[in-house]
Amino acid sequence: MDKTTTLKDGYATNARPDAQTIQNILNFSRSYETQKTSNNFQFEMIKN
Amino acid sequence: MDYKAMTDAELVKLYINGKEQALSFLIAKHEQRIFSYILSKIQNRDLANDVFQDTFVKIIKTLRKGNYNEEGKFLQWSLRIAHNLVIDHFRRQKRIPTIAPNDEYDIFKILKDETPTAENEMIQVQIEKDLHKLILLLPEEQLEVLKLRHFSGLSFKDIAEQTGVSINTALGRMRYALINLRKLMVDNKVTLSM
Repeated sequence: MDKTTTLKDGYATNARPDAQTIQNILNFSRSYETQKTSNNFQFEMIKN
Repeated sequence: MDYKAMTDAELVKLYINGKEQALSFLIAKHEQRIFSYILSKIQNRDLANDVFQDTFVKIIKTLRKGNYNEEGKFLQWSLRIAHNLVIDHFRRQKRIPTIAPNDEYDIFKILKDETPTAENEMIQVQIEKDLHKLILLLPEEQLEVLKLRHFSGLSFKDIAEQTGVSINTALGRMRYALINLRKLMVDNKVTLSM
């Protein structure tokens, strides 16, 4: 029996996210920082 | 450095060690699989972009905090994060159902604006004028009970006390007032509804 999953029209398996979404992720990555204090507390920070 | 030739594990290691470019290559390598998966479930491009972004925000946070320990299985791990975020998305959607109007269904057919239109306000004023004229045609004792009940808001007990009759008489007068009012409406061809 054929077990192929067919996606609905317009939702092809080769879809890619928008360029702006990728840019947002890369921007977040550049501004995101974590720091650990001596007593093992971890801080998350977003740089301007 | 040839990022393209690197394995996921190598790219992850470089990224954790501060090479931002490694993340670009990880995204480029897997964006199609991850995004297609999200889009196939959510079936809305804008929302799928949001979930894709959230997936990588979570990936970045986990890698930077040093909590990633699935070496060599980056794609499966990323798809699992995407899958959980898709479920979160549907849970949120279930909590706050959104209804979009279409050809078969329009929410504004159910949710009505109760504010009277100018036309309805004019009809209402006319109805009140007609009713006032008809009420004045009622016998004196019926008119009195009707006024005390509907305009003064008195109970039948209070009406009985005030007019010096029994409660049953007050109730009877009210009943006849309404019967006569209906007759007067028919006789005068007055409609008291919109």
